[in-house]
Amino acid sequence: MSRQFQFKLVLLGESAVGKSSLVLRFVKDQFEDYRESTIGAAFLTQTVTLEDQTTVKFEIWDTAGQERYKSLAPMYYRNANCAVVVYDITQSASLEKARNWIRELQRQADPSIVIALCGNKSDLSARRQVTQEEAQKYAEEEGLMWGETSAKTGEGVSEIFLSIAKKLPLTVPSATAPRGGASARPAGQKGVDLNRSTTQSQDGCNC
Amino acid sequence: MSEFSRLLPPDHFLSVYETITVPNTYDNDDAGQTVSRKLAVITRNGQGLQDTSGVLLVKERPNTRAGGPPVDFAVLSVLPVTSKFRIKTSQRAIKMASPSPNAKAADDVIKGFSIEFENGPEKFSFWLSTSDFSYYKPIIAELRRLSDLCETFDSLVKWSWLTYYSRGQYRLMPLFHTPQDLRVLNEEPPLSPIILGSQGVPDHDVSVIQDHWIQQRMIERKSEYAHLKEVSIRLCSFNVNGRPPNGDLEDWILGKHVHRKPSSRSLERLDVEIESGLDLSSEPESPNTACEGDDSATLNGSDDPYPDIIVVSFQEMDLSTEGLLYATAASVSKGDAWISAISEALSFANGVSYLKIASKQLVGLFMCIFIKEQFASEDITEDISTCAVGTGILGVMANKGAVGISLTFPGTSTRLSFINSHLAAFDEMLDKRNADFHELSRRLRFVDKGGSDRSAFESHVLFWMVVRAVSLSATSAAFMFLTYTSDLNYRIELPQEDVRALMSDKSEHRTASFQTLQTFDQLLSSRQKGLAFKGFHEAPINFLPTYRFAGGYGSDDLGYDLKRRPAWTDRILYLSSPMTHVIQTSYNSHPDVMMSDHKPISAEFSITTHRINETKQASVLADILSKTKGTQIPEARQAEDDDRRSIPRLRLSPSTIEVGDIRYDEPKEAVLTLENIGQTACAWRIIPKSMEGAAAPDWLSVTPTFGMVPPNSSCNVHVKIHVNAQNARALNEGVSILDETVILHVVGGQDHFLQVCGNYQGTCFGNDLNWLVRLPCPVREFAKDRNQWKLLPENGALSCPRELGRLLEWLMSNAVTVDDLCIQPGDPQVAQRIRESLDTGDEFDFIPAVDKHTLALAFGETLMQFLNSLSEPLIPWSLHGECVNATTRDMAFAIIHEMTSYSASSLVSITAFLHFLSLQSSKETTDRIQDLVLKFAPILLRDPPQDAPELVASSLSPLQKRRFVEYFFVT
Ligand SMILES: Nc1nc2c(ncn2[C@@H]2O[C@H](COP(=O)(O)OP(=O)(O)OP(=O)(O)O)[C@@H](O)[C@H]2O)c(=O)[nH]1
Ligand SMILES: [Mg+2]
Repeated sequence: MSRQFQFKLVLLGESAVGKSSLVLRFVKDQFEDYRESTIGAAFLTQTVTLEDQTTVKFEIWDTAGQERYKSLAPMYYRNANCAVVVYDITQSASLEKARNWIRELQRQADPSIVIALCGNKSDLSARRQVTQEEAQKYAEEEGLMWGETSAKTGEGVSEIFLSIAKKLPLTVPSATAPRGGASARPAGQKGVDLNRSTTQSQDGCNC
Repeated sequence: MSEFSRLLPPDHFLSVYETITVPNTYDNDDAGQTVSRKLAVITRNGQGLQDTSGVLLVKERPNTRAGGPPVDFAVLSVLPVTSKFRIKTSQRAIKMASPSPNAKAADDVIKGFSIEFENGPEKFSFWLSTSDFSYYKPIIAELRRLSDLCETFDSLVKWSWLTYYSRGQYRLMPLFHTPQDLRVLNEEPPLSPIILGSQGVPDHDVSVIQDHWIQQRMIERKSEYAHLKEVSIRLCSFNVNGRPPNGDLEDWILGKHVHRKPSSRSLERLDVEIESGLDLSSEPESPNTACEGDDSATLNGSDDPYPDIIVVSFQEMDLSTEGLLYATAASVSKGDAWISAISEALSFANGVSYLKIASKQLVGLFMCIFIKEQFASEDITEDISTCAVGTGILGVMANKGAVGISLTFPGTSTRLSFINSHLAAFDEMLDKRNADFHELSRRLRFVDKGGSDRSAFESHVLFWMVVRAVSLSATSAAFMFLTYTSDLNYRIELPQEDVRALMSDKSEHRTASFQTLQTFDQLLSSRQKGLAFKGFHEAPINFLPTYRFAGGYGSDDLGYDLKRRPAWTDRILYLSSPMTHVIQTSYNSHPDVMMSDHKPISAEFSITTHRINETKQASVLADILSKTKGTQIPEARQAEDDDRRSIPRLRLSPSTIEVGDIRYDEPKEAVLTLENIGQTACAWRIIPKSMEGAAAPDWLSVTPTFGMVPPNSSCNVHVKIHVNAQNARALNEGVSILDETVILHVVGGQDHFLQVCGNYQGTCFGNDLNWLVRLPCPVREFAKDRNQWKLLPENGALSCPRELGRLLEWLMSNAVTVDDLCIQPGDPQVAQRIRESLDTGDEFDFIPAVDKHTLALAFGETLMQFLNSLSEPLIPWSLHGECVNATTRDMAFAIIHEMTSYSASSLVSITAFLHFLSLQSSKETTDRIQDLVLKFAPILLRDPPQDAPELVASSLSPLQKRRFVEYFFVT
């Protein structure tokens, strides 16, 4: 039987680096030359299938890069399993911003978060300001995944999401007590606590 | 299949059972196998209404959602446990699917019990092996008990919260064909909990928002399928204390409509205002949306001012002991005597005749309905249903209880229900009283001619309740005040002297005094806390208490019994459906009627009735439903549909709202348009930014907070900014450029950020005194350049805030001879300009613009508003207890020494000014002192906000507050 997993992914990075364009390419395989800057956060989902037939469904939150919305970002990377921090290879300042995001994620986000650094607009390499070596070196030092993409041509886009999917912990979470959910039973009454799961309550036949 | 991993906070599990189900019809994954399933009973607290429960068949499984709890629950089936809930058990053998094709069939047969749950047409069943059955007995008994507890009328909307667990798959929200419970109809529907960066439960939210939207549209378009007509109704209620009719009743029965026949009455009385209390008739009239054309002549036949229906209710009509047990011939004849007295009174209606169409009696409780002759037809009596419930001793004796009459207004589809009740004494425990009310609610069922019955709350359109809410025993008090602590035995009563003193206040203080008294009124406070009469409305009471009157020597100046605390025991409340427009035009008592220890009361209403054309209604509903097409979860759709345009898309315009300067108490409004530029209907809601936070700060409100926009249309959202005493403080102490982000979430999709920006203009209003006295300059200047200015050190603080000093100085030199200073309200616009000058530090140089008197009153008003806006009153709450206990002038002055020097000097400046004012008056000095004390006692000793009563030691007597302030006037 195929296994399906679901992960929350958040895109961060300076405005106009191409976050929304990357998502559009990944989800719809489309590109728009003119895109409105995101005022809010777009929500999309996309499923990728790995070699062993495991499917990984990404719940993608594409955030607003504009500085004024920076304070809302923590709400989006809260509980995220992975983050794609995007910079524009033609703008060295955008890598600086990306470093800030990475520092913030390392400090504030879930410690197990998988972070990928993504240099976008590789089709514009003639105007390149950030070398591959510089970015890659930084990524290695910080233990991040790294790749260059072009939302315009599609180059490297599915690769970066696929490699994130592979790096995520694809194990069935062990069946221990879930958080929350109060249970009150009249005294003396037999019953099984829905919140205290037992091994026999595993899926499948019990007889 | 739906899933959940945790219960919502208001819900809890009553019991959870491991179970085994066969055959597996709920879940294709395991078809034909025996599988482990759980049976859970979950309950939601009714918060003022009955708790509601549901039974769930769930499958537990590992959670594949990373970061979530390790297991979640897939709901296979949900049933609400209503009064229709039934359980069937039967013995049954079932055949197992053979694990191997060679195994003998006989080995696979297992004997057991089948249990079937059903609720109306819906059901689910499961099967248990034999040994299990006793194990299930408790849960079956429990479910039966829960079902028995249900009010016999089940409005499924009360169980709509179960949709959260069934994820929209199980829809309980009512459409128009289902009768609805009026008590919950006007409430906002429950949306799933959500915060920024999450999706909540989109299917649930979509179904809730969509149903709400459909209902709103149906109401908006009612004139397309209903013929509308205004009907006026007068309700009269009187606790007659066993007395027979004696004297004139027409003023009570007909109110201001009484037409005096010149022959029988003296002409002078013709235009005398004979009602005491509130005339609400100046309220805006409802828009007359009546359809044109068809038979409006017969429907809108009454051009006279008289009510179309008059409902008269009596309590304690019969006090005889045998009357408590059964109806006697004597009690019946008492009813007849009252009916003829009413008929006599009705003859004062000029040119209109009324017919009695129904009456109902339960011993002392009696009610009868009169209708204009033109509406009385054969069918009307056919349609009438009545009810009677006793809640007195042993729950059956009829000394307490209710009677009711329900009818459809002739020629319309509007159902009117009237209840006349006499509730148990309110001096009992709060729980007991509420239980009584709930029991009455449960048992009130209208029985029609055919013998079928329905709940009083199952009214499609309207429900009235005439309540004789409080019965006082010698030891009890209507004005009992329960502290907010959970120890109900510790209660504080407002002393008799307070009640009587406040009642006797001069007419110019009456509104304020009544308001004070009403904060101690049990019915109002119970309603406020949601403990009784949930969903009901009552007009403001502007008449004196109606209980208890005594004759001669035993009474006070106003005629009230000296031994009893006066109380508003007699009340009229109502409920109505959103479809029905109701305007209350009066709410009065009739102090001239002397025959009982109570005074009669009356209320008049104008309501919009409708006659529904069902064919047209169905086609309007179909049209509305067609617009909701495609409102499904974008996520689900997206997987199968690659067309990008099918993603719900909203355009917000403007996306930034610039409101310019924001000043204290000068509200600003803006409209935001949500345009659907996608191909499918789009549900949206405003969501908070964090778990703890609200969707917007206090000074900013966004309405509505959820909605739906069909494709190619748009809707408006109103953004209102209002800085007031409750929220100014944080703004004054913070930055002056306001930039708030409000989040508008598309259900199942993206978040839009709505920017609200403005320039806050700091103010001296709404602050902490301690902050204000340490300001080195006027507020505005301070805000302009925070680097230049620093707050003064605590000990360097000015003696009293400079703004207060400026106000008092102006008043001392310009207004001391104004007799109604601080009594009459000031012009708000002028007060606004005075406030602005205080904030900027500018001179009061607008003086020539208005006349001296107006200006003086505005200054007086500003002074009082300023004091009222302070986050803590001038006299800190911690000292209020001591203040009211001060019984001498010296004690009062000693308290000043416990205050900070700036509070003390502020207090002394104000009281000195007030004292001076009273001496300058052309009026009697004691009168002037009295007036000023009445105004300033509640300001200087202002009660803490309702959500923080613990700030003062106990609730304080208004009279003692006055006494404290008065000490500062004695020289
Ligand atoms: N040449 C080229 N242009 C790109 C590429 N990706 C994005 N763009 C363009 O860059 C601009 C900004 O792209 P967006 O996707 O809107 O950027 P964003 O990061 O979402 O920006 P914000 O929403 O403001 O945070 C658009 O005009 C895109 O067409 C790319 O790979 N190559
Ligand atoms: Mg974007």
